Parts: sequence; C-alpha cells; structure tokens
Amino acid sequence: MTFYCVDDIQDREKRYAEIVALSFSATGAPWNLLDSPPQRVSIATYLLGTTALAVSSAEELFAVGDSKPNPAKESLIKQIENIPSHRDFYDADETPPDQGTRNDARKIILGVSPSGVLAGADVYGYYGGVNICWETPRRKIKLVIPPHASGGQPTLYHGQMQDGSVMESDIEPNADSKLLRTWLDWLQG
Amino acid sequence: MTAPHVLGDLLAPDSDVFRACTNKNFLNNLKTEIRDRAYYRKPKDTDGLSLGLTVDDAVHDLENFGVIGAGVAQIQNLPRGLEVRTDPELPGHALLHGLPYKHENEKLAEDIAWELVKISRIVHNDSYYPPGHRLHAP
Repeated sequence: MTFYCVDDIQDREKRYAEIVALSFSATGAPWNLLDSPPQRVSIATYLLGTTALAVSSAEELFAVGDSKPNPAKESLIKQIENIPSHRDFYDADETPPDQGTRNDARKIILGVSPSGVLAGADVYGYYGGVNICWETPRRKIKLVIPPHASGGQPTLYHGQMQDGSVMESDIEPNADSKLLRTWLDWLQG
Repeated sequence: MTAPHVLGDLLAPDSDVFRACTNKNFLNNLKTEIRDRAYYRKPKDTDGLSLGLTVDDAVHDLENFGVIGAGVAQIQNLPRGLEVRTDPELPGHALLHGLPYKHENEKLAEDIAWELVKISRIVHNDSYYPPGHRLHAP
C-alpha cells in the first residue's frame, strides 16, 4: 500500500498544473509543445494529443519524484548517497565527496530517462568527487562529478577497447543528463 | 630538490608483479572487480607506480585492503611504452614507469588504467598481513 502525504499530493498537482499551463501558454493555443501545428487534424484530436504529451511529461516528472520510483534509478541514487566516508576508502590526502557534490551527481542521474539504461553502475568517491562507471566487455563510460566547491563541470569519459587496447576514447566536457543518456545508449549499441 | 631516481633493471617478462590495495576503493563494493583508480598515477608517485616483486613485498609495512597482480609481459606488451623495473633503493620493490599523471593527461591516464585493470587479477580481496608484518595477527 502506498501512502502519500498531503504536501506530496499538493506538490504533484502544482507541478502538473504548471505543465498543462505551459502547453497553453505563449499563443494561448495548445500546440506550442509541438514542433509545428498539424495541417489536417481536428482541434479535438489536437487537444487530445497535446494533453497526452503534457500528461506524459508530468508522469516523467513524477517518476523523478517519490511516487513511482524506478528500481535502477533508485538504486543508483542510493549508491550515491551511500558512498562511504570512512577513511579506509581513501588515501591519506583524500576526502570523501561532500553532500553538495553528491547532490550534483544526483541531479544528473534524476534527469536521465528512461531510467533502465542506468542499471549496472559502479559508484565511488575519488578526491572529493563522485565517479559513476558503466562497462561492457568492450565499452566503458565514466561520469565524473568534481567536488562541488571546486566549481568545476562534470565530465564524461567514453572508450572502446579492442584486443585489450583502447582504440577510441574521449572526455566530453560539461556533462549533463542528456549527454549521459546519449552515451549510455552508445554503451549498449 | 630531490635527487633523480636511479632506474633499476627491467623485470623478466615471465615474472609477475603485485600492488597493494592501499584503500578499499581499489576494488568494487563486492570485491570482485578492480577499479581503474588502482592504476592512477598521482602527483606523489614521482618515481612511478609502486609494485612488489612478491605479494609479501607488495604489502611490506603497508596497511592494505587486498592485493592485485599482473604479468610483466602483459604490462610491457601494451602499446603504451610502459616498463616495469626493479627499485635499486628498495629490495623487493618495483616501479611501473611510463604512466602519465592523471592530472596532466586525464584521457590517456583513463585509457591505460582501464587496460591495466583488464590484465590484472585480484590476489587477495581483503587485508593481507603475512607473518613478520607489523599488522600480522597470529
């Protein structure tokens, strides 16, 4: 059985209202969420389509929240929160990631959709940052979130191995949820 | 200013070298996989990455959380110009030369660390203190 507190429901209703309002904003017509207005579609069909799009977006937002946790995303968020702080996990001159850095990592992960692509990650701290790796026998990607206080931007390493040697690799600057999703798709390709 | 490190002899290709896991993050949470950070060269690794000629040499005087190992031939066969040499200043100690510093060439450091992980194996996935070690518990 799922219990919702009143604040959660009010918050979700507010976010839903914002999305619906967004779909009707600007021109006052509902089609501003679509690339271009259809030429031969009745306004009723159009309203249905736009509403479906708004509802779909709302569901994605709610999935990001607590109402419909996705197991892969939830597990990864837990891994980030549970990165050990004990000194046994770090070099003598190294600190574990602080809460601000963990929040930065969390934000990127929460923005990835669909969540299933996030499964199988290995998460660990490295000199105040958060490293999140996904690997197949031949491909690897690693999201590196620098310490929050450093002001640095997350980066994403991607590499492909053949016969034990890395044949292609690069590091993408300014990594965000969208970039991560793109490379997670590549990883499985 | 410190004196330049004297290079030792190249190790025989048919030998193995070992590296102490000096923190628990060298291995994944299940202790079944080696993480790339085990082979990152940090600013303090001025002479190269520290290795032991035997498992006991690798953990000599070190608090550790396991030991990993690799074949010298496999390391030197990587197309990276890596060399494994003895340390003339410390018997039983060897150094992996040719690794880039992670803070200087991050992409290359990531590439090589991944390759080294692929040819390495876990020898001990928990603390290993042989008899004679200061932390040995009989």
